[in-house]
Amino acid sequence: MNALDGNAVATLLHDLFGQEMTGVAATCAHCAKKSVLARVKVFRGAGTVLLCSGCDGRLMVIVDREGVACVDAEGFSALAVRVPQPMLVADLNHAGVTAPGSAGASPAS
Amino acid sequence: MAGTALLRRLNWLTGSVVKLVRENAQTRTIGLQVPGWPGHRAGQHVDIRLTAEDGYQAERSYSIASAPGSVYLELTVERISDGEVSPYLVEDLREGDQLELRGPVGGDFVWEESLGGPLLLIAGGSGIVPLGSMLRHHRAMHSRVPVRLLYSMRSPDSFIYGDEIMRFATSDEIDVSLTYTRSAPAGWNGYHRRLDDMMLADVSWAPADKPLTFICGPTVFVETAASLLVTAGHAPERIHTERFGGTGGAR
Repeated sequence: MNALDGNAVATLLHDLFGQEMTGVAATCAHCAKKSVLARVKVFRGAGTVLLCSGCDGRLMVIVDREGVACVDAEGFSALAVRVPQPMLVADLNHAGVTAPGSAGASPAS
Repeated sequence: MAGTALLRRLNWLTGSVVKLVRENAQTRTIGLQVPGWPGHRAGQHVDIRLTAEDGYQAERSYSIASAPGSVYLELTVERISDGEVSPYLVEDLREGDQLELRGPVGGDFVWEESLGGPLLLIAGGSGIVPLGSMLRHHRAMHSRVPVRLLYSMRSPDSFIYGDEIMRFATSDEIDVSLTYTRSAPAGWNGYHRRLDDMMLADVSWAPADKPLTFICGPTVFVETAASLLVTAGHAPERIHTERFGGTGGAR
């Protein structure tokens, strides 16, 4: 079976996390490789499995059980999901938006 | 992306088919008018959902072919012979039909003019589709970013965007190289083999030029191209990849 990559589950991850996820930085708990989710290996069958592209360690398993997504994210030591900045400190030009693929969120000031 | 809400549900939208273009025997471009479309970036894709009369639904991803800001949203779809969705889109869909879609999605396999270059675009078969969106964006922006495109296809009858790509090749900024892996046109004196290290050394930028690279196609093609580039000394983090799986592609 041929591996896909994280781009193939962009919609699924968007459904789970409510935002674009393929540019999100992730660190493998098995081998400590840092990458972005677009670059992980993806296999789809009855469920969806994300594997580290460095060590093939299992990062995440997603299974749909009658419309409920069961997510087991056992293999990440870090997953840098951005959250909207509080409106009080939001600069309208930077309101929670960082360029996808850039490392980390903009510093809160 | 400025001004885009960070959290946005991917709601289903309904598009009307306003244009259909036959690219080759297996491939068709679908132009859609989509009320509420939020706009996209070059390289992103959408999900299409078909619903049968008995309620059975099938959902597949397709790369966006049109440039950001173009009048219609265009998708180019290759027919997979045992597919559930692509045969309908390539053979049966008619102008005026409605299609359910949602998106756009994708944040890593994306190029916009501000990211600069030089650009190296490598396409295997219908992997040309998202790269086509990047090339159209490049043209729409009158970009001066230098581009090299390597497009690998089985034979002349599987060429997608043939005329347009040959027009791109006449611009100062864009170099186009083609390779035919099975049959080449009569009199062809270009590449007539699968992608290899010699070919990549010929057509790609030197590692010292630090190109921004996008590779799209079947999984084996993408992994071959990416590993050859890394072996040649290109930085892995500058190489963006998108795999279709299989040898023909789920997209």
